[in-house]
Amino acid sequence: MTSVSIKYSQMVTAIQKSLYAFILSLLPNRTEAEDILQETNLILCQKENEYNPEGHFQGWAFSIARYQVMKHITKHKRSKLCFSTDIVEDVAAEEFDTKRVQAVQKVLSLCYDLLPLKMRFIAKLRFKDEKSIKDISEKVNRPMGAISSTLYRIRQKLFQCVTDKLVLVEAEMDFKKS
Amino acid sequence: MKTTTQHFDKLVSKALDLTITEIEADQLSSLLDQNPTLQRRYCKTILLESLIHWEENENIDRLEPKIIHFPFLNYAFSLAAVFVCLFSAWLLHNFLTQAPPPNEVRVAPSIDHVAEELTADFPRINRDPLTDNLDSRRKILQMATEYSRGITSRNLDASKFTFRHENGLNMMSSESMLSTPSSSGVLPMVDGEMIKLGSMEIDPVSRTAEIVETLRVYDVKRKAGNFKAADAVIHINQGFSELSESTEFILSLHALSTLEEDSIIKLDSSEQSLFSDNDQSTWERLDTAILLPDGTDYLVVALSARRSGLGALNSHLHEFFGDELEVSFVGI
Repeated sequence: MTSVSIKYSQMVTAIQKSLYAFILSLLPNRTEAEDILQETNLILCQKENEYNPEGHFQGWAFSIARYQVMKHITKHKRSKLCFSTDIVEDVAAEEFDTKRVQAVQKVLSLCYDLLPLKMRFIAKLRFKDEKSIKDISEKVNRPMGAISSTLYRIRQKLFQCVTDKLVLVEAEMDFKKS
Repeated sequence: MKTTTQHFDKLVSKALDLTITEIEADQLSSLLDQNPTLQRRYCKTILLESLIHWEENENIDRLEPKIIHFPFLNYAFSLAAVFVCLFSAWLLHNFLTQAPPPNEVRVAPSIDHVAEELTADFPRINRDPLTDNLDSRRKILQMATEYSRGITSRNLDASKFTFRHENGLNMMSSESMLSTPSSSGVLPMVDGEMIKLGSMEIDPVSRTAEIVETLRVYDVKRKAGNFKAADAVIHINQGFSELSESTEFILSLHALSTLEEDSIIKLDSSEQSLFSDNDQSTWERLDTAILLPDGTDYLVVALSARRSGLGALNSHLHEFFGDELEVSFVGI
């Protein structure tokens, strides 16, 4: 029976969002990324004894996740898109830093609420209900191309909004900390 | 540069919607290669996408009307009716000389057995999804699972559910499927068998783990008005946990009604929870009761086990048990 120390469990829990983002950056398919996240978590639990407490936990977890992604790709060979890890890995370590993730999430929820009503409806179907483009197209009776374009614009709006507001939120978080 | 960025963003958006072509995927890869600005932009977009995913898990909308539509159920009913007609004629004279024994337990893996049950218990043609055919029973099970707690993603195998006739009611049960002898140092309470719940599903974000098992689905349609309430009793136990985490067991009853042929709603439900101790040698009693609203067609009995906190992360390694389930109806 594998048991995990409380401190280690806390560390695993704390990096879940970063870990998922990292996996998704290598393999942009949410369903497959979720599967790999679960597999990675299990391996992290099993490898507690191999972790060097003086090392960087996130980096170590990312290396395990990277291996799992490669294993998944080799096994399934169905993903159209999977990036070589060295393309995004250096940037990912910085962008998916736990502290930064917290700040982005805070801003994102504000920006999500600022989306126009129609966009929010499409966003809900895609992001919350996990409907496919085809399903959304049938539900709202619009062509699939139009749905793709709307989703592109939704992502653009969220990206711009988060970029604009993130500086302020990070400054506020630093201020509260000090 | 702006045009390149826009094109790049469109490609990323397509990749995330799984509508990207092979050629576009190659374009995206080559744009990312050796371009730190686009790499950073890509990671930012991915982070937003993944965080929306987490937001989704943290803000589940529970207020939507709980109605399930089965668009193909009409076809299933029609096929089942034709099927039943054919078999009824053939089986009728057999049952004039050979009545089925009461309370007989049958594992009903084949459609033939279902037809036998149907003809034995209801010599007339009916449109009852619980007894019509395996496909209909599978749908009822899916529905029952949805209403038990609505969180499980496991695919239930309807053919492994046992079909029983008890207290004048038709019933499907998963107890045989979940049955196990002693396990993880836990001995069955009375005889040599007990119910072992499946592996817990872990949510690392909320640090919770849960498993829900639909134990029984009763067809109470024909007895509508004959009884007013039902109560259920079960005993629960768990394998030893090194972290001494206690587990919350929940026994729940759900009264469901068929609105039309293809939609079902939940009329009412009741549940009782109990935190199990970490002692394998003791079984703890858990019971709940429900007043059955008018129009109740099905009664679902479900048992769930839930853990939260740090110990939830390795809950899939532990085992959880139930035994001696008894369901009784008041007023039959």
